Amino acid sequence: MNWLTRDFSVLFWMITRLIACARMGHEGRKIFYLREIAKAFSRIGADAIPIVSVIAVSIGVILSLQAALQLEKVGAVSYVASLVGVTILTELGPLLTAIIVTGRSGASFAAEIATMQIYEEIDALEVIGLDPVRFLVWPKLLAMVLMVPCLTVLADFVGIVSGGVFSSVFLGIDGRTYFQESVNFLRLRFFYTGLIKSLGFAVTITLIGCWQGFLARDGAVDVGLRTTRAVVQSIFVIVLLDLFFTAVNYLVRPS
Amino acid sequence: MTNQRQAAPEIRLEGLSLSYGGRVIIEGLDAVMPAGRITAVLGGSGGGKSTVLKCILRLLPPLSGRVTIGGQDFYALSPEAVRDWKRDTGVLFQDGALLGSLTVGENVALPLQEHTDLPEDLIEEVVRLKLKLVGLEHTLHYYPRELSGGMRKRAGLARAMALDPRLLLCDEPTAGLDPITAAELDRLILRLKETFAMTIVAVTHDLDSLMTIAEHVIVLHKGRALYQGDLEHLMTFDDPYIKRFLNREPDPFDAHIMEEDLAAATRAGKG
Repeated sequence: MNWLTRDFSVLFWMITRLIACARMGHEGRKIFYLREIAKAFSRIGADAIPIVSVIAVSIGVILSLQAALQLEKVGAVSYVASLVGVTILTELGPLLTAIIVTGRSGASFAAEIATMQIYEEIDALEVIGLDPVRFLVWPKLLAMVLMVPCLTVLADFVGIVSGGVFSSVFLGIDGRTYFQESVNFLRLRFFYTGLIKSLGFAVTITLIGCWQGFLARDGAVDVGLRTTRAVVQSIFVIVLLDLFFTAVNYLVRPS
Repeated sequence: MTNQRQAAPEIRLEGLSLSYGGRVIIEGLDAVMPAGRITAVLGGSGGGKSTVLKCILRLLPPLSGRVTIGGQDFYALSPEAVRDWKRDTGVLFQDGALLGSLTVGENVALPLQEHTDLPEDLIEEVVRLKLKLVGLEHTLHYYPRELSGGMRKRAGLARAMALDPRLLLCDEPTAGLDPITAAELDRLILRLKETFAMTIVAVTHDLDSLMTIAEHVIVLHKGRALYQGDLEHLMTFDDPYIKRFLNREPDPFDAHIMEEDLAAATRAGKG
């Protein structure tokens, strides 16, 4: 049980320091290093655009195909647009984006901080008087909270458009009908639901990735172990959060 | 060069016990690191030298006992006093501990950005001066991975000196360096001490380094201080471990075990 206490005390330490940093910001003290924020934005956001787009195209096409296969049996092929749209906006857009970001950024947070821990770089920051959470976690959290929703919007857009293009070219659904169906059926509420989820996922991925990094102690093996744990735990918590959000969304749906 | 400023006050360890990884490493250690002098904390691997340094850096709270600096309990300081202490202390880590994502110049600039309100162009001037001090002015835009081990340590020293500290703590400053680079680093530490009137604590197991820089020596063995005092007296101090250490002789018991292991391995290899 000792390791469990230690692990959670590190998480508690990290969260309390994050709150302390926010307070420093309120007092007008410097809490960000702009250079670190710029790096985080570029790595988390800009660098992820190609992979998110490619996956979103694939998902749009797969969903269109699957939906068409089932709906043509009951003569409701025109509902492909609404099915693809709702599924991507509320579920697959945020979820797949979060999983991609976990694999790219969450793993990289854990590996970066774990390596710094082992090479005494975290100790060096402490000794300089620079809070490691402020220097390392804050910029990542800020970039994640802003970039993951943006990537989710991109995935939503690319997924829906690619589904429409595929349906009109290969499934014989008229493009204008597809667009009209999407406009008629989709609600802004679906879009917000996905965005709120993506915010929750962004915070989860950052906290777990950085937390696992700070837990590293025993050399290169531990860096690998912590990185793996960061990815597995993030995906696990993301799926649970998704379940929670979906349940809440179901319970408070407009009648 | 005469210097009007005062070195950091003495550091006292009083009945200090420390554990690391669930194991008690230091037990009831009493030691003094005098102001304005270079104290070498000497001892074999696993003797607790770096653990003591971590405690002095506020990275490892003691199990019992206390660390005092200028008579004040170091672990009971107010957050403001801790911040002042950090501003006044430079640390040279074993491998330099430069942040790999920043250039050498950005690494040296970090303490200045954190503790001063200097404008960026002035910070760059100070960084250039500090790098020149350690002979690395040409590495301003290099990344730590582009430097040799000795250069990384010197860059780490430049970062430690960024705020002109009154206390410099060095963890194995010459470990892993060739004899020429090690001697250069020792000379650099001596020059810094004379120029900036600092209190310096260097954890080391390098005897050549000890002979060059130490004015006051603490010998740690199995978590206790076997010796504290001047370097001259250490040479004549009557303790079997210290004599063996200074003469670079292995422990007779360990040497016997190693010979037996080697013989057994050779027999197994032939078999």
